[in-house]
Amino acid sequence: MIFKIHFLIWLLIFSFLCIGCYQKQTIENKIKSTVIRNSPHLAQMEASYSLGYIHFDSNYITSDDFFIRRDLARVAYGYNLADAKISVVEENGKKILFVKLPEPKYIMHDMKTLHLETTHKGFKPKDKDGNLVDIDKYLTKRLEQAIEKYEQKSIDTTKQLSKQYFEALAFRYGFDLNLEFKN
Amino acid sequence: MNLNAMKIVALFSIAIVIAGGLWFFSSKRQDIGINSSADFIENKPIDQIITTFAYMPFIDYKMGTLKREIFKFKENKQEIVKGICYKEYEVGIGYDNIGNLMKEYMMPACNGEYQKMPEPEILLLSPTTTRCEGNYDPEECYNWNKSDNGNERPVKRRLLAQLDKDRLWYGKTGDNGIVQKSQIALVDFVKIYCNQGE
Repeated sequence: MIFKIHFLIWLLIFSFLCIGCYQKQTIENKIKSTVIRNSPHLAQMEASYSLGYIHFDSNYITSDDFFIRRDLARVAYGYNLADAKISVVEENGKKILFVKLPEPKYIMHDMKTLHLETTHKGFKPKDKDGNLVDIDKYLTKRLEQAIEKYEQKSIDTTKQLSKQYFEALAFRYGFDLNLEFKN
Repeated sequence: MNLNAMKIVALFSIAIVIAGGLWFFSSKRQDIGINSSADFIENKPIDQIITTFAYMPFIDYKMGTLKREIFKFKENKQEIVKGICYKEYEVGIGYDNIGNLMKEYMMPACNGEYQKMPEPEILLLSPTTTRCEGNYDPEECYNWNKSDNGNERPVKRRLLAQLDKDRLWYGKTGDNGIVQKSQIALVDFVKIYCNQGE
């Protein structure tokens, strides 16, 4: 009889362990499926850079000439959410949501002219030395400079949005969050 | 069946019932989550999200009469650009007071109805460079966003109108705009706090 009671006690302990493992698996899977289902949008961000070239010639006899052109570059930044590693770990009685995400990076960009307005169609702006201005070259160069200058800021914005999403998720389950971006 | 065998079966059944009950109770609890939307609203773990970054110019014009029309005696003289004020801005677009939005839009968000979410706003605005050309007073151009009575002039509204005109705000066919992408991001945040179907 004593042997059978011991057996039952072990059976109960085993049941609790199974429940514990099942819960851990369930909550991890639940979080993973929530993230995969919801977050593709949060793993990517599109930044837009719009820059203009303006030129004005003041003529005393004929009418003044002006030239305005605005170009746009749209740049996509992000990471592949399928590479995310998510786990729930218990440390010192506190549950922690561990999230390891790939570092967001530049994906692609496209450029186009948005707006062109001038006094008359044939008007071509000249620089102060009297040379024709290569506006395509000027705007492409400035847009590339802007993309380079703001790349880190855009990547940081993408990271911040993902971090906030996981903070909201961790708060929902009463977990602490340990999130890192690593390639 | 003897008495001992019955005892074992009874204890075994009790063990199964206890384990099942515990599993059911705890799985229900984790379905709901520990903190509700009310806890989120109260504790504000997140207050503001930025969904898009834009770098864009603001262009203001001074209009005037064509020189060849100055001596014409007619009321509707043709107007033309006489001066340009050109400023560039760093713009952060997103949502403020996420808790309040969660309170107001929980139901459509839980149904995935992103179209019912509010449009995002310009939350961060920082001027970088300023240039003026032609007949535009440089001081007025530099201080465009400050009117005489000290109120802010509508730079945000003008920039939003510009984004709309450039078809970036609402997008166009086959190309999601800033509004739609931001609304979907907001739904993703709010959905974490839906009670079911997470």
